[in-house]
Amino acid sequence: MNTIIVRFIDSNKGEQITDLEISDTVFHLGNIKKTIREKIDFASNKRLKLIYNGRVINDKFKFTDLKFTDHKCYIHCVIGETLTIKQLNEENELDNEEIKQTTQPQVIGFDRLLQQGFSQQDIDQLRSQFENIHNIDRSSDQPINDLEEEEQRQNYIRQLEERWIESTVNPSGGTTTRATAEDEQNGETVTHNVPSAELEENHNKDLLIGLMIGVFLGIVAGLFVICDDSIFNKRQKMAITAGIFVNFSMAIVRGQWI
Amino acid sequence: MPQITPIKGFINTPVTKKVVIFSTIITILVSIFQIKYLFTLSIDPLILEYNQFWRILTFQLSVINESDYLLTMILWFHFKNLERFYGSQKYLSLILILSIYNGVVTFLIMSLGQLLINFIDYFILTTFKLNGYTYFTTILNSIVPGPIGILSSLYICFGTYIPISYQFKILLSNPFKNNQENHSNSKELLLTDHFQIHILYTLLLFNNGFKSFVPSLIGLFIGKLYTSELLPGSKSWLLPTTLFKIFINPFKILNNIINLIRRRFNGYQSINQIIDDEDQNEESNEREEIVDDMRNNESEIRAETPVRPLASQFLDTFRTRGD
Repeated sequence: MNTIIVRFIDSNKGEQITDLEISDTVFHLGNIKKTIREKIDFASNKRLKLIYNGRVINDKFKFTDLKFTDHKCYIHCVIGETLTIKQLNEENELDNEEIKQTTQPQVIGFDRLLQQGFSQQDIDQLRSQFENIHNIDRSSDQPINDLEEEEQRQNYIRQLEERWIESTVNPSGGTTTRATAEDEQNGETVTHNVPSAELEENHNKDLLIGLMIGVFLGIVAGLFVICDDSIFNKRQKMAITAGIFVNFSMAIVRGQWI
Repeated sequence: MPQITPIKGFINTPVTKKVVIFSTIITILVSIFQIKYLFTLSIDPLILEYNQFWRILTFQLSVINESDYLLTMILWFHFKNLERFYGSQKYLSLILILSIYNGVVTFLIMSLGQLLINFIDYFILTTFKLNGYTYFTTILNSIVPGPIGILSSLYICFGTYIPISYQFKILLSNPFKNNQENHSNSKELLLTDHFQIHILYTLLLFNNGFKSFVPSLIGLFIGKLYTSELLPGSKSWLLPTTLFKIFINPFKILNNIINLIRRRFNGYQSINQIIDDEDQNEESNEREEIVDDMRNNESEIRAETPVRPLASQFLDTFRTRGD
């Protein structure tokens, strides 16, 4: 003789409903629901959803899986919306519907990020970066790609991506979300690094150009700077000023002014 | 922030940018290597005695004194509006055409004019039965080098095609004294937004006396011919696109050629990649200017952000790591 203790969670009513104990030798889903409806008036025409161990109990659930400790077992019952008589009869069907198996192939690789709210463009970019980093040559091994080979190659790349994502998962309890977050971070840092490197390059170029202009044009360059602000950026202006000083000091050193 | 033209910097005016850069570089090189003599044009010793006709081509390439340089640069800078008006390719074609016409016509007027003056002198002397005629050089003998003729023609174009955006009056008398009868036009100065160009051009016109006056007048005349559509070939002729591209972006063309050659030696490639490359090239062509612009802005912002002290740099590093 085992006992199931049903705890209620009501989504509409805030009050607590006292636990219900059902004792039987063999349990059946229909029986349990029936007893709940009989014992508790409030739930007589409500949708009931039984949850055990985080899983919804439906027709496929084997009641032998219930684990009893001291002949007791706890089940949660969620009381939902009010149903009509017809819907009540079909209630079990509703439960069965809950777990839907998708027939589409599992999404792997960076396509998984689509579900995380990335756009297709981002993913294409990530993918091209990934291919660059891992030296996946797009087409050099096979000069002519037919459709099948192309598909195989795509699959291969997806597998690589998947493996990479998996490998970046933190082994100590890291979850996939963590992996995608990390993945995202990597992608972002890579895309941000490129322009900043370019900027650094431009930085030196600006300094050189500004200095050259200042040294060779002398006071004329100063006039240009004063005349129109939009030609040179701030760094170039500073370099031009430095260049003009160099120009002046050269003149003094050569004794042109004395 | 002073800004003398409505267009900021050299945005979307690649021809002006390149013209300014090239003329600056040429001027500096000419000055450093002391080869100013290659750019002067004068009839009497150089053409008559030494037959150096190539000077017709070179004399417009470079200015040889600093005030000319400054004036021409600022004028080129103002004529950015014309480039926007014509479009870059047409503008470059126009500059080339004007330079050809100016070079040839200036040379003809100089040589024929000098000859004519000498002939008149000779004629007068012979009619009055006076002796002692010798060939002499006139004011037409030599001119100052530089693109003065081109700028004069462009000045006419500017006045004709670029509309006036605002006018303003400067009162030359006290407006508070006898208010009623003070509206005589002679006491006001009416200026437009073109006034700085007029001033700059006038300076350029008189900057070297007759040596700059002669080519300027010829340039003005050619510009007038151009705007009244009397200059043969100037309306329809366009510089070939490849040449234009080479002028605008020589390094990129060079890069492309190197890539092309490398591709030749690398053997076969799939069509996909070639198409990809070409697509990218075209896209980058279109986007380059926008990207340039953005990058300028970005670098400007970057240049203006204050320098972080070392401690806060460290702190920032650890903050981002901690997240």
